[in-house]
Amino acid sequence: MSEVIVVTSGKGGVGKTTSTANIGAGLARMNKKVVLIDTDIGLRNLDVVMGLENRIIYNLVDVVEGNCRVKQALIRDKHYPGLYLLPSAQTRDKSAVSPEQMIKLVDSLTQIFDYVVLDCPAGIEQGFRNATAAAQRAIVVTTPEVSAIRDADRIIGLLQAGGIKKIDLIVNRVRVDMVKRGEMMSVEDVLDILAVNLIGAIPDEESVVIAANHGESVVGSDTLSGQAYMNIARRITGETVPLIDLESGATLLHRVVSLFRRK
Amino acid sequence: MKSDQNRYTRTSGRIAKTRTKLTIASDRLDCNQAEMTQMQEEVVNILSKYLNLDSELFDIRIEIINRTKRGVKDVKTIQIK
Repeated sequence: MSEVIVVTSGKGGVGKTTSTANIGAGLARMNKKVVLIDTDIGLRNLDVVMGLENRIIYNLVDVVEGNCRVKQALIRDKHYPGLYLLPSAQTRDKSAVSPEQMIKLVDSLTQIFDYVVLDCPAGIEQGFRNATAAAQRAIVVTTPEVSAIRDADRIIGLLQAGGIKKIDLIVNRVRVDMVKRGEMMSVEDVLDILAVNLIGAIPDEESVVIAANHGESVVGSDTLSGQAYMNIARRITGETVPLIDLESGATLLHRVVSLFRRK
Repeated sequence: MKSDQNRYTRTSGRIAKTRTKLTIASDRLDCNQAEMTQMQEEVVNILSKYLNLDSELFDIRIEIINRTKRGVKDVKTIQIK
């Protein structure tokens, strides 16, 4: 049974696209067939984050308008044979696609893939409606900042009103040193305010930026953020994975446990 | 209400949390923050009319309790502690 997940946030620049790419890579590492759809028409970015920008021939709008078949527009990832990208159009705008067309497109993809992950544009206008129309569950990305949490709260309300039952939260760019000094809200503070299920917290690490610079995912690298995203992917599939203690990094116990888990 | 003098003794993380909570409450109730502050002051005035209160010893907070009903516009539960 396939699942359709939208990654959204309301506020821009909190890490939706990076999270989508890494969740996709994480699921693909678990041998799932995954397609990532960039729904940000006019401002496409997921292709660059994944390092696939020079392989684009057809895009989302071409598929919707019938200029090509879905399979012609799908781009296979460089590393994971089960991971595909459906890029967005750069020269069109949000009105080029309707929620009904998105639902039809996603329906055809669920026949082929285990997971369809939609990268939502910032804002709450048509782009948001397009991306959420076909989704069964949502992952809301926020950072420990007043503005991002406020927008996340608004988005959660809209998702619930839109009938999306399962909503999970990623708290991105957590700086443990600042939280310790009391100069940043902790993950617990954010959860206290938003009261949704936490699916993972990502530390603010250089490795995420460096990976994106190369057009690679952090998942699979020996970094705390890479592990955190991998754990999110495993939780998506229904596994119970304990949260990483961001402060101590992967503890000795954690390392031993993960050693045994690797079959 | 906590005043600005605490701005320098409290950490910025605490301040951020308080501000976020206030902003979200104000967004959800569609009631601006000045009105909410005024409402809190009026509540204190009414309470002290009937009860012998020491204003230093208590704190009025507005919290939205009915979280599961978010998105439904007509359900707004306010708890005043």
